Amino acid sequence: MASVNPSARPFLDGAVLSRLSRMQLQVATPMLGSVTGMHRSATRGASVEFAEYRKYVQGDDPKHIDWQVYARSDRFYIKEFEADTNLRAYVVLDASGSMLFDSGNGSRFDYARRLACHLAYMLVQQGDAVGLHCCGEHENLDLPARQAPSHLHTLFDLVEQVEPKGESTLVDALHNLAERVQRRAVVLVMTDAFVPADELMDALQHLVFCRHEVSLFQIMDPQELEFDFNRPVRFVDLEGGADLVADPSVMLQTYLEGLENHMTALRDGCRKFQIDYRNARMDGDFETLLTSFLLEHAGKKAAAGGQRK
Amino acid sequence: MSAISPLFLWLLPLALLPVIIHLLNRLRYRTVKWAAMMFLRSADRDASRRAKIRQWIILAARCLMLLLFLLALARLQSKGRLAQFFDRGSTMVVVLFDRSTSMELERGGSSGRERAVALLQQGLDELPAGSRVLWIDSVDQSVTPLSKGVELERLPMASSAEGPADITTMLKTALQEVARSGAPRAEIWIPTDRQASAWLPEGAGLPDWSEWGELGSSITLRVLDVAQVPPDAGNRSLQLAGPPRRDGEELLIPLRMIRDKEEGESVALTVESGGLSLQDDLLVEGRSFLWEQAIPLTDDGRELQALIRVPADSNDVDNTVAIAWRPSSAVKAKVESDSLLLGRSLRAGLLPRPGFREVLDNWAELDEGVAFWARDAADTLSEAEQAWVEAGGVLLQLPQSSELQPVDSDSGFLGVSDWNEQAGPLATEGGEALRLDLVEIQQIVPKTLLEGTEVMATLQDGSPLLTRREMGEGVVYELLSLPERNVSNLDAGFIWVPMLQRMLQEGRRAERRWGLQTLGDYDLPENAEWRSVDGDSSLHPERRTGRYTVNGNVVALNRDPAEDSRQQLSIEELEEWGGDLDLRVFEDRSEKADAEPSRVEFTGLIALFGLIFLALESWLLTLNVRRPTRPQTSWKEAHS
Repeated sequence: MASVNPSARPFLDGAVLSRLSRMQLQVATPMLGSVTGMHRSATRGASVEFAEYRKYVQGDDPKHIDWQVYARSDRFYIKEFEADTNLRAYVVLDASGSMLFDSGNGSRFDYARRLACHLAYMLVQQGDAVGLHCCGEHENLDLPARQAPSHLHTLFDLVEQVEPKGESTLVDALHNLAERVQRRAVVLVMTDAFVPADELMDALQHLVFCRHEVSLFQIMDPQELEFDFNRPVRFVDLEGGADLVADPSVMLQTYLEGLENHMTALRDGCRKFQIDYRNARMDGDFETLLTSFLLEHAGKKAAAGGQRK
Repeated sequence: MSAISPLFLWLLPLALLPVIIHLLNRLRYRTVKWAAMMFLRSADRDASRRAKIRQWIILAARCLMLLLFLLALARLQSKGRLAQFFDRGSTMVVVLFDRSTSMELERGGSSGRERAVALLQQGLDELPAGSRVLWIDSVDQSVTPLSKGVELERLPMASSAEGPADITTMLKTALQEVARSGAPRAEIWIPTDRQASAWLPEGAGLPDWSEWGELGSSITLRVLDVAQVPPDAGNRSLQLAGPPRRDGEELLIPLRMIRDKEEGESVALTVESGGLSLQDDLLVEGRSFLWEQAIPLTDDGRELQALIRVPADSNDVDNTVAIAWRPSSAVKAKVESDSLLLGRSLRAGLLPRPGFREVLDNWAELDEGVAFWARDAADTLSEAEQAWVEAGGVLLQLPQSSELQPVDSDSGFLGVSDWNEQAGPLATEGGEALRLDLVEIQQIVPKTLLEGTEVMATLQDGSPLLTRREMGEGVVYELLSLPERNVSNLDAGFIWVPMLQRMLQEGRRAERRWGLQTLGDYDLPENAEWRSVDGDSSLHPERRTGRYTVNGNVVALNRDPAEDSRQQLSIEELEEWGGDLDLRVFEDRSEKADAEPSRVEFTGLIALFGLIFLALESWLLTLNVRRPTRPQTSWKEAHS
């Protein structure tokens, strides 16, 4: 459906897309789409999938009356069917300075961009709408969700031009997004999450409260996780703050404890609010991450069944 | 405090090396653009305090380890209060017990020896458990281990004796024992009255202890000075002043009385001889009184035994002189050779002096009077000849001309490369060495040495020139060349004459089994049958003066006159004698608390602390560091 040539974009891997072409991003939450699609709608529609019975009220279309039920109960009941619609997804790309971190595995932003674009491509492929929001101190790009292939080009162009810089404005951006996007959507957040965990969880909770399905991709470099320095280092803040000269061996334990606490807080918070938390190691297999994400979402949808929210 | 190897103290600044390396490392940081600063700042602010303290402790431990290592190499030691604190007592004590005649002099009512025993007992009782104690007796230089709790008063080797003491030789024996035992520290206790003859015999120089090197630095000499207490007044020593001489029907015995006062006094002199006891009053004056005491000879005039005494005083053992006399027989030497030249050389070398010795040719006259026998004959001795040698004779065996062979040398002769200068007929005497370096040997008898043969002189090609072999109480010398022209230059006499003279004297000593001997100089023959003429069972010919019957002959043993000398070494002279050895002079060992304690070396303690700091550093470095678990891709995995 999409007419985008993956090979024309450096951050798209045609081979991966080809392998994942049979997979689709499915959501458990019923969506409120604009057109018919492959996802469950939050409203009742004219699909062939039976949803539920309800009492007949004046004005209902009589053709939906279940006469067999009337025969048994001598009461009028209307059969309702599931509606299928498309979804709208928003990719939130953290464009703060910390996304430029690169220990030799490529920058974090490149990884996030790659992830975002692959997902955007797949979503547009399956007929869903994708929007983009890049948040950073100097970048505040906002692209509404569209499902047209040309829109995908625009999205890719924007992603290519973004230059991460400055302090993180992720929390505010997520709050704004929650307020702005009225109809429920899928929000895919790609960030390093180097903001206070409670503030981030507040913002994510805001999104969940607005009935959006949120997935948080915390992208981290192995060096940040291992902190394997063996001599004094002058750490320069990528987000422009003051630098710090320290002996890593002295602060190793406390740093790792702090990092672990932060990640635990995010994990626990995401679990609590049923946010899909993904920790992506930049030296890990990108395709595996995507595959597991898609499969788990497919499984969630199957487990969700006919539950309506 | 001082250091045995002070050179290493110059390297002490190296102890700062870990700090320098640490600071250099801090300066050599690299720059890293970092994203997770929020974690770094909190880590730097909060938890690194403990880690920083740990780092500083590790750094300090490294510096201290280096410092202690360098101090251990420097081998610190202390003599002051610090050493006193660490000094836990010796692990080995060697007692050099002087029980010479002078130690019997009473001081404050008890003899110096008794006082020494009391002091030693006190010291031994205070020794820590596990200490090893050795006792070296001045009488025979024997080494005896003592057990804890021994009562010294009951020990025979602590009882009174006479005879000289040789502290220098006893100390060398003690040092050998300490070296053999491998004890890290040792004390050598020397109770003494500081008599000069015991420490520095006449003619002897200061001993050289430098050969003991490092062993000397771990040894403390504690001199227990019993002479601190003045001797009781009124001591008289009676000593033999010379050999007795016959004057008609009397024997005149030169005697000397050493006194501790100048004023004249009448001393009762008792002479016991021939079963009679005669008493005479002797008017003596001055500190040294010399006279000749006349004793009538027996009717046959053949021999005389006597005891001459003065009344007991503050030293009971120096009041008696023993006499055993008989007319001296000529010292005889026998020459047996078919060679006129050799016979003449032998006779010339023996140089017979009128009235003292004569040279015999007749084998039938070989009797006890013959002390020395020179012959050129076959090796084999007859039974009688062997018996003569074994009874104490000295035999010089010479080769026959037919046995001689030219030496293997381009020059036609060989010189003497090595000879025994310490003892024997070629020894250096009176500081003058024999000029064996001038000897030239042209012909020699190749000889296979028998077991037990000692080589007294060796030629340049390693072959022996003169050998010595003991046979019973006697000695067989073997000269492997001849004093003849074209054989050697021994006939020049500068070696030949003194060698023969000394061999003769050696035979003379062996021949002397009757008469006057000096205690300490007299070697009791092995397995000899002896008894005290006076029937006193407390007397022993190795320890006490008196008259003894030894193998049927009578020997009168008297003290060495040097033992009566009042000359003492001062404390300073004692310390000079000790040289580099750590010598302390105490009145008694209880003064140890006030006196400067011995040196204590701290190498072991320093090494122990070094190990402790090494262990501390290792422990601090290996403290576990927690790392976060592998990042989870889902909550489920994180909480499974």
